[in-house]
Order: sequence, then structure tokens, then C-alpha cells
Amino acid sequence: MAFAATKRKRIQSHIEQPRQVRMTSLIDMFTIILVFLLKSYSAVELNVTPSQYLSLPVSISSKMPEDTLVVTVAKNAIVVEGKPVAEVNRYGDVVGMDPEDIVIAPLYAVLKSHSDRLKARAEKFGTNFEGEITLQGDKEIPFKLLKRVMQTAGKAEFGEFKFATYKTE
Amino acid sequence: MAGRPSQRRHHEEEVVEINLIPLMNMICILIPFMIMAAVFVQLSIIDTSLPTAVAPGEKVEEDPAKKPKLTLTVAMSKEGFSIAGYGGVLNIASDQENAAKDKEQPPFIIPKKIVGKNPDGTDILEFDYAALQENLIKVKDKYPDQYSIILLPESHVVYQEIIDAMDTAREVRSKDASGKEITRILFPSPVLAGGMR
Repeated sequence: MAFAATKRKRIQSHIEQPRQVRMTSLIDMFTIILVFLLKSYSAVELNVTPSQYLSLPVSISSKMPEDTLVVTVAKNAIVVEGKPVAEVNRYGDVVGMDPEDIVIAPLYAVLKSHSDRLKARAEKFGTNFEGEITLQGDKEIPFKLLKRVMQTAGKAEFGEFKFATYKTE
Repeated sequence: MAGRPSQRRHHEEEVVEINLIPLMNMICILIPFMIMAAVFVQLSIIDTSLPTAVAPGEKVEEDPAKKPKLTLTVAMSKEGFSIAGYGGVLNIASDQENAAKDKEQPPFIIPKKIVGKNPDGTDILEFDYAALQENLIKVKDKYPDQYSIILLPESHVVYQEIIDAMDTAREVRSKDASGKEITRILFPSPVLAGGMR
């Protein structure tokens, strides 16, 4: 024999259970998130790995980054396409090189091979070799280091510099 | 016998509910994808180029009919900015035109401004970007066709300061009477020159 329902159960059975979860507010939320993410969606990928040695300067420029060869000038090293090329000391001089020497020899060798490769490719595809290069520099590097990197790149036929910066309003 | 109660009164209004589950499925898939592709730090670039080299002895062909072309140079040194123009008339300090066109003008110096004091009592100095912009606007008024500017930083000048100077020289943002932001392009093509030793 079944027992009679307890008082609580009796009351509960009177309250109508909603048949479906209300999802409208959830959908609203998701839509807002989706719109926000769409806004910050970027097709051009420019990889910056922020670290204590690399923090890009800020600028109000609104030009979009382009896909070019990337040279990173961090506080402690010069890196081309992810491969370290030269070490930099804390005075902004390249380790093991004469500071009076404008062209950084190891960097020149790497950039020259890149420019030869890009030129050969441009020739094959019938496009122009623009000599474009993106420079990701730490905001605290002195101009003398920047100048040496730019001169070296210029010698390796990269003449169009694109300084990567963080965008602010 | 009582008649059958009227059905009309008990007719419940049926709420048509859209089936939102497919939409939810789609959004749940889209959101992780978007998060993966999202960039939270917006990057931008500044275009510059190396100055075209002209050997010291070389004579640059000049068209006398053309308006004198200005080589606008802003040097950044310990003292501050100094604006100089070569091959054109640049006299910001006074409005009178200088007759000697081919002679280099004495540079116009904008000293650094004091923004605070170090613990040891020395002043913290900073480049005066606002004053630079004011003066560059005057240059732009005189030479509306001039777009390039040569930056000549000293070797100790920090990268961020160079970028700030480029930003200052690129455009001026102001608000008009109705509060709308207007942007005036000044010198959008900066060139970094070798610099002083």
C-alpha cells in the first residue's frame, strides 16, 4: 500500500513545473559576446610575444599590419623570423661587435639570404620585390641600435620599414 | 441536466515559442572559434623608409618654376626638438619671409619641458610634443603640399619617443564647435635619418 503524499509533496505538485528553460536571456548574452568577438577579429596575423624584453611602443596610427618579414629588436636580442641572430647588452650595443661598426654582420647575413629568397620568389611569380620589413622594437631601445638595424636592413635591400606598434585611441 | 460548460472561456492562448536550440548550438561553436581568432591587443604599423641617399657633392636638379621644396627636418636631442628646413623658407618664430632661400635657416628649438623632479633634485625632462605640433601646424599652413618629414634623433633617444614624434607629426586631432572630432593630416610620411653621433 502506498503512503499518502507528504505535505511538502502535496504543495509541490500544485506548483506547475516550467516545461522549458527560458533561453532568451542566455541568447542575448551570447549574441553580445559574439558581436564583441567579431569586432576584435583580425584576419592578419602578426605574432608578438610580449615579454619583459619586448614591449612594443604605443601609437595612434591606424594602419593595419601587413604580412612581411619580421625583425624583432628586443632589449636583449635581435631576432629574425623567430630565430635569434645577435645578442644585445643593456646599453643597446650588440654583444661581440664594435659599437662604431654600423652594419651588424650576422644580421646582414640573415637578411641578405631572406632578400635573395624573396627576390627569387618575386621573379618567379612576376611580382615586385618591395623590400618591406616589419620591425618590432621594444619601446625602450635607444635610437643607435634602431639605426644600426635599419642601416643593416637597408644594405640587405629592405628599405620599406613598418614599425609595429600597439594601437591606442 | 446542466449543459456543457462553454469552451470559449477556457480556450488558452497558445504561446508560440521558437526552438532556440539550433541557434544555441551554432553560437556555442562560433564562440570558441572566435575566441581563438580574437586579438585583444590591436596592432598597427607606421610606414617609414630609409632616406634616399644623395652624395654630398651631387647637385639635385631643381626646377626654378616649381615652388621651393622644403626638406623639413626635426632633430631630437638632449635639449629638445629643433625644427629646420633646407631648400625652403622656414621661419616660424617670425612671420616675415626670409629672402635667402638656399641658405640653411637657423633651427628653431623647442626645449624639453619639465614634468617633475627626481629624488636627487634634478628635473625630469620630456619632449614637448604639444609645442612641436603647434609649430608643425604653422609649417603645414605655409607648405600645404609637404607631406614628408625627416626625423633626426640623437643616438640616446628612446624608440617610444621617436614613435611619439611621428604620431605628433602625422596628424592633429581637434574638436570643432559641435564636439565632432576632426583630424587634420600634417606630415604622414616620416623618414628616419641616420642621426647625430
